[in-house]
Amino acid sequence: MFNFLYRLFLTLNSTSLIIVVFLVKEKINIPWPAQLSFLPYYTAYIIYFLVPVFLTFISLLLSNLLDSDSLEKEDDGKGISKIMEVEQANNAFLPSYLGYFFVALSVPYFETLVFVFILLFIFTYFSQTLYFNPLFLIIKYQFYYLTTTNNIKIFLITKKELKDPKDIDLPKLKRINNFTFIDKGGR
Amino acid sequence: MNHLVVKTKGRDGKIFKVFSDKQVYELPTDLDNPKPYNSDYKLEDDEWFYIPEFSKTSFCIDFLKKKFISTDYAQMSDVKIENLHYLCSYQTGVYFFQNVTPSLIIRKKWFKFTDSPVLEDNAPIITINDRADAIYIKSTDTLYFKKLAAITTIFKGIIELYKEATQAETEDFLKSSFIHIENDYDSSKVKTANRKRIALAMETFKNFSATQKKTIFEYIKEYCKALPFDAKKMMFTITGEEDLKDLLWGIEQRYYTTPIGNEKMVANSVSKID
Repeated sequence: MFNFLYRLFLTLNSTSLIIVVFLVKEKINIPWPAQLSFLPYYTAYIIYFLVPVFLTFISLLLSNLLDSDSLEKEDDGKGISKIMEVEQANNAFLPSYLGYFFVALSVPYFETLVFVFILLFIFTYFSQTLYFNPLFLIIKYQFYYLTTTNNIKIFLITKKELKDPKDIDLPKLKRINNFTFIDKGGR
Repeated sequence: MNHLVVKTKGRDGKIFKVFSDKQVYELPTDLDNPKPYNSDYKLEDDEWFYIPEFSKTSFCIDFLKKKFISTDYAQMSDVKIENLHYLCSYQTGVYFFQNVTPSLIIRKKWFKFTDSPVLEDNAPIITINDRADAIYIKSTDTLYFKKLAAITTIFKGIIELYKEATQAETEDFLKSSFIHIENDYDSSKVKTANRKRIALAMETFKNFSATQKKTIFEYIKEYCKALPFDAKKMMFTITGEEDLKDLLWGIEQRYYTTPIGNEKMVANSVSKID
């Protein structure tokens, strides 16, 4: 149950920027009290943007409650890595994100936005492997595709910079879903 | 890190991850003096059977041949409890197997005995035995087990080790020159226990020279007074299962005399002293 709610939460985080972009496009300001009315428009924009960032932080904290997993080096003393191939995926989300932004910029009415947002939300949720949240990049997380020595590909969110498959040692993973894992082992 | 996985039944049975970071089984401390499998040998409480170079045997499963990578397995969900085949706990290079038998599944109502108990109905639980049915240590490539019958469904074909003479072998054995059958006893009446002994005895007997055979017959005659022996024809008369058992034990040289008290004994189980 927790897992299901957590995935919904992650989906919300990674799609919420659409709403931010829409609010900025529509120049919707926060109804400030009279004393604060001197604040320029972009203060509201920054606050809009900080909401998903904050939620992303929360999602990282909550990820400690997920089921553990590991991809540590072999326990037999030789310390052979279980990873055969590593592929950076930071840029893979850009096309879909640009798509989100263009949608948000060209949607004329609020009702249309709600409809489009729900559709995107559903598709992102069911696409499973794509919990791409570019806000993770701001908090210094990177995205990688890893292929294990048993030839199974997984998606990993980690703070480590992974380059040589031989050196990869990930003893503290959390399972978001069967294809997506997040590394809690630091840098 | 430790991981518990389950395998589901059937030809397309899959492996699912249950949970991680928990130590389910303790590594027994008495694995240092294992015995090679012999169906006739009765293990002491602190003894295990073992199969060295297990990955090279035909009954080793693919799951043990490849590296254990927990992220390769999907999280268990929607698996019916009656579909479970076995549990395997991977604990830093050691695999603990436990067959899931109906007796391990509890379908009664239950509640956790804590400050806030909740009655659970229709929530079957699986109990975990103190001792795993089989233990595989990857670094030494050795499988340890206590009861072969418990693991025959996990490792297909391992039952071969449980050697039992076939009908033809039993017939052949009973036709041996040193056996005379009476009282309507025939190969169809030989039960499993004796068939296993025949399989073993045939191996032993094959390697005896003529003089050794003579020695063995004398030895059997000495200990089995109840077993009729014709010294001229060199023939034992077998009238039933008991007689056959006595003879087979004799071939395995299970009889001995105590140095003190001079009592004649039979060894229920034997193993070589290295």
